[in-house]
Amino acid sequence: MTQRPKMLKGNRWWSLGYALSSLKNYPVRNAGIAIILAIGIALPTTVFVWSDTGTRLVVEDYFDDVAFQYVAYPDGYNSYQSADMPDVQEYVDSTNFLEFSSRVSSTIGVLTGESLPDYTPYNMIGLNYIHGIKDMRVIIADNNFIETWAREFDYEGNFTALLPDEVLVSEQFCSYTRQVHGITIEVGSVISMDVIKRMPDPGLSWTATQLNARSLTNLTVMGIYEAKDSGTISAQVMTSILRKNWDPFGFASPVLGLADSVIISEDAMQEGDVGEIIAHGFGGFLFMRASLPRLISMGTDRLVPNLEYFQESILEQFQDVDVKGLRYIWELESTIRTFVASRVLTVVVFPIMIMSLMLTLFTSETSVSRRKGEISALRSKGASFNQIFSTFMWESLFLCVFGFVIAMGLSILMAPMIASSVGLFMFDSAVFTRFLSSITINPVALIIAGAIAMYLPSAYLLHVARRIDVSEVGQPAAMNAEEGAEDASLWKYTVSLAIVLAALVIVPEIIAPVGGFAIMEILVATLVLFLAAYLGSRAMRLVTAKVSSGTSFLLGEKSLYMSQSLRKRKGQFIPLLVILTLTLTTTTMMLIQVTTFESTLQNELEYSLGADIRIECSTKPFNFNETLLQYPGVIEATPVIETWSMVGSYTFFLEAVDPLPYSRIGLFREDSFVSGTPEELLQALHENKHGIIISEYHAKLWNKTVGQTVGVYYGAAEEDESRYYQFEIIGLLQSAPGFGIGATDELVAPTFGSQFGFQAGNGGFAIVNLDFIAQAGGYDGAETFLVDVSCYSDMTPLVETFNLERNTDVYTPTTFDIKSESYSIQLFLSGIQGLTVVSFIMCAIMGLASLALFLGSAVLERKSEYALFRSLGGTKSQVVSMVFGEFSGIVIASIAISAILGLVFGYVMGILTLGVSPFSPVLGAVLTYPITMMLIILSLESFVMIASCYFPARRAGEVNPATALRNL
Amino acid sequence: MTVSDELDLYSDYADDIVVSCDNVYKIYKTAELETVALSGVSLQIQEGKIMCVVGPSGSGKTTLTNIIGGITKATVGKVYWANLRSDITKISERVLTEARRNFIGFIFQVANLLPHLNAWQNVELAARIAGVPRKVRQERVDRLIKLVGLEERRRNKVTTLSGGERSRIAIASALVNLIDTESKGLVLCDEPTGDLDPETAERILELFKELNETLGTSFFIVTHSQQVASKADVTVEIRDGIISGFHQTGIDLDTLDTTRIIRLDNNYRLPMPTDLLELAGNPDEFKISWEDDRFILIPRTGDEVEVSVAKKARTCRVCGQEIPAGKFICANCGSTV
Repeated sequence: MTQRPKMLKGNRWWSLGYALSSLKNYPVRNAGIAIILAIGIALPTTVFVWSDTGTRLVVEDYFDDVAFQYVAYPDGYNSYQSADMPDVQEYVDSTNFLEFSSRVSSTIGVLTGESLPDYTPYNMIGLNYIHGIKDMRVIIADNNFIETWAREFDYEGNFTALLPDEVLVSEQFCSYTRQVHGITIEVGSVISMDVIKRMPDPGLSWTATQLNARSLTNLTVMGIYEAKDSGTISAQVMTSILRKNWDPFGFASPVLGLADSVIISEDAMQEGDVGEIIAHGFGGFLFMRASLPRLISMGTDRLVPNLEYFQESILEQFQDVDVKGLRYIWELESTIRTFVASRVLTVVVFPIMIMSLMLTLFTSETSVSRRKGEISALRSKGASFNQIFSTFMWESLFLCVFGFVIAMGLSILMAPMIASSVGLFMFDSAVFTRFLSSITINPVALIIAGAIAMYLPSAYLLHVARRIDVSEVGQPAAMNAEEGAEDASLWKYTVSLAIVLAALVIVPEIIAPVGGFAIMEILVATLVLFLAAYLGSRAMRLVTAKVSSGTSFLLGEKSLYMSQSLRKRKGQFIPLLVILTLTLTTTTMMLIQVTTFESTLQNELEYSLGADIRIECSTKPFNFNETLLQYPGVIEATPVIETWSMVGSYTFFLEAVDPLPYSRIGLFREDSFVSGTPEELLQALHENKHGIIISEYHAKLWNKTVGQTVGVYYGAAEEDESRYYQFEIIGLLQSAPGFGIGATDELVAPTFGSQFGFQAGNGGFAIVNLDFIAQAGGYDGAETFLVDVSCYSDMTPLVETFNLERNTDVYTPTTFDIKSESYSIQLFLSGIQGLTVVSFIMCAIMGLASLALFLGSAVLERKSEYALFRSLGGTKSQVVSMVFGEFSGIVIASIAISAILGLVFGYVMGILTLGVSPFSPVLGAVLTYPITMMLIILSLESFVMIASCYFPARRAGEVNPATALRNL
Repeated sequence: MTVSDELDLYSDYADDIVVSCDNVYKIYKTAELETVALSGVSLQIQEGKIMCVVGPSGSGKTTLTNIIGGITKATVGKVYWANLRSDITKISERVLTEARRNFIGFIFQVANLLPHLNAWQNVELAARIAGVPRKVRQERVDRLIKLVGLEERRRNKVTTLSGGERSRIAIASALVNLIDTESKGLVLCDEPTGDLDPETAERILELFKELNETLGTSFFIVTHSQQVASKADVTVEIRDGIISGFHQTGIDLDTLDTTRIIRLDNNYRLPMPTDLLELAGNPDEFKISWEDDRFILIPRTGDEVEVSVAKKARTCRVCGQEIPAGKFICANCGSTV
């Protein structure tokens, strides 16, 4: 009997230690893999971080601006008690939905003092001011409320918690007091007042006993305030009354509202006072501030619906209560929606993301296969398959973690770049800093990033096992079998490339890139980009080889080496060529994409404004046109009457213009009008006062054509009045400057014009004669004027003058502020601009990283070749120039092919980007090739890439023939 | 079946056998063709001996080494390892790896050292992989480094070492799990002095001898070099996957035909040494006879055989009539030969 032999079971943790030392020993290679992986992870994550942080910031801004989201108060038939307001407060406080709720009461107070006359008997709607009585609203609140409320006011002094002998006063109160008593109240002044606990019934004069006032003396004025916005919910519930104060026949002035008020702390009153005031004063209100952390934890995407749901839940439970609030919430919702919708921009960076993942896979696989010798050595030293496999898996996990961490860092830096982008390579540093300090990373973004990061270990899982299996013990450190020079024909690749590119250009023409189709087409185009880059690289490699062999007069014998070297080693050079081509193509493509979007936007802006200057104002008489014409540089102007109209159940707008001036002022495009040129049709409209130009879409819908009549109901000048007329159709239109698309149903997404506020909504519009509508509809003025100027510099006096006028807005294509007029467009624009810059940086990093990885390993592998050159009598500088020539040949080849591919893909992607944007252009895409910018950026990128070829070339020159050949 | 039952099957092997190959075949299959690398190889490696294998390139030397080392599985045949007392072609990869760690050491022409580790770490690596406790490991590595005479260069990266020094490190590395173990183990060397100058090679071979004597380790060396083969206790000639001869001591390539012993394989086949065949004009066949206590082989060509057959006339065993040469039916009675 023999004992089972003693065997060495192996060290379970050896693979972990070895993986760590291996990572340390090949820092450049591993850092390269981690960075390239990080780029793939960072790009989609950045879009998420940008959108999440942006959403969070707008929500925070909303909460910063709006002190209270809701105010609850008894309906008109109930008192505070009978409406169960204490129960309401108990309920809302129990929900955890609120940061806090505060009961606020208000009543009338009267300014008192030794020199001031007695105010009793007091009548709240009497001519109090002339009798030397300065009354005002006294708001009694707790200090928590006061501190929170401060954000809704501009103030001098302080607007903070109040002591019982302190008071805050409104600016209008001070102004009225100066008028009534000649006293100037300033911060630090001391005032006294009586707080009336039982307000007299309107019209009745009550005695002091009846009023049961609480006298507060020697109150120090801590601050003087004025509400920033008259539309806040506190202003809505603390409304003014119009009262004649001085003269029974004079004008009434607003008094006793929020604007004419003082604020004191509840602590200034005695026990029972507040209850009496709630019952007999202006009543009590329950102000509520929602909890921001709670709302964010419930998901910013659902923030607005959650706010609305809370309001509804109070109304449902308490029948006798009214709840006001959530004013401007639609603006917040629209912004949040745009942020969420902008996540679709991720598809724009798909090419770079896929490129990075491809490169990660390729680099890691190459790295593993280059380590065949090492695997063989380890196996010969007794390492089991599992030990070696887990070594590689540990390495991949570490690289995955490094990649993830780098990606998070990149996302944190790049997301603010997108948010603060105000143009290509232009950033707003204040926005950048604010965004950076408020970075939010959604768990979903983390999960996506994590999933992409796990791509590396997964790739290892699939590839490494195979590599280990094929590595035999005793194999020398991997020496690649000599690869023969490729003898492929050039035309095969060229023809394939031409077919691929032609298909790419034709597909968007056949299938309109709208919504889901656009996303699909972008994804397909991304795949085609890779195919094209591959075919282009194969072709360019042969072209470069051919060119090299034909340059012996320049390069001497080196040309032979270069041309053969380029024909050989396709395993090394093709991937590098593809990567470089892809990075350069993507840069060009994205530049064209973004400038196309910008130009389209500008074109749409000009068209939706309709003229050099567009003035929108409260109704001005028609002769305002004459005033406009007197301004220097103004050539022509026309008023525009816009009124609602109906044909059957179809609603639209009638745009009444003076046809001839409009034909000269309007910035018409070729396809604006369908049945003739704008001049012809507007001339016809001028001649036929009862004519109408309707949209082609409506004409088809109503089965009408030019020459027929159409019966239209339309709004007259007097409210609630309408007219009917059988207009004769004299032309058909697609769109018109100043009014947008003729029929809004034709477009899937809203027009750019509608985002600026210039698209005739509600179905579209038709153009009619101004004279006829003015006369028949009883109009004596217009709210819109279109003005033509001789040159843009002439606009300034006119723009400056009318901008100062109340209720008048002057718009020009050059002064139009997209950010303030359409946050959504601005958001998308800065998104795409920022992403382009980010992509440019990422492409540059990736290009350089792949150059370092590929060329670095190429030099290592070919050390013996260089050593041989040296031993054959080549000088160091000859080797350097030869290798540099070969490597830079690769870069030049990729620049050449990417120039062609970039232009084609830029054209296609420019169109497709508009397809994924949440807006539809009326006029179609304006393709723009920013030649100068492209030249600058590509030259810079190419220069850096070519220059970076020098370093591996120098290393090749430094190969010591003695060492290299000895170790052969 | 218990483990002991299983092991008893191999009790036939003598105790001094380290590894035994019995009728081993190795056929490499690719999509298009099959290559027979080894064709019925049988040999036994004895404890404390140095066995050399010589043969032209492609004769199957490396395949045989890998099969002995348990890296490659034999297609047919048995490979016995003394430490397992078992045929390794039947056991799992995991057990094989674990058993190999303190039984087989490898030394290759390319030294198989990791460039990012220093000399000491390279020697230690196999022990680390095997999970040898740190203290034991350190003692062993120190001892081996001293034994191969590289104490001064222990902290040097292997890339800075000379070819001879690298070979020494490779030797130390191969032995790190083999010393201090129950079974003496076997070191498989594939061209260990291939890229060394004769002087350095000589020093390495002396080191082998020294280790062989001090540690009792067996060596199986694949070589082309007479210098190496001359140090062997047994030399095996291999050609086209067949063992074509044994030499009991170190060989001299000029007098191979005088020291060669050929053995019958398990199928009673006897390989013919090609150098002798060449001397005999590459005959197709032999006339073999046993005379005076010795085998006599007379080489013949195919033509000669036909002529001898053609000229032979026979007598019919039925009627006694003579059957002419080249005919097989009796013209008289119709009987067949």
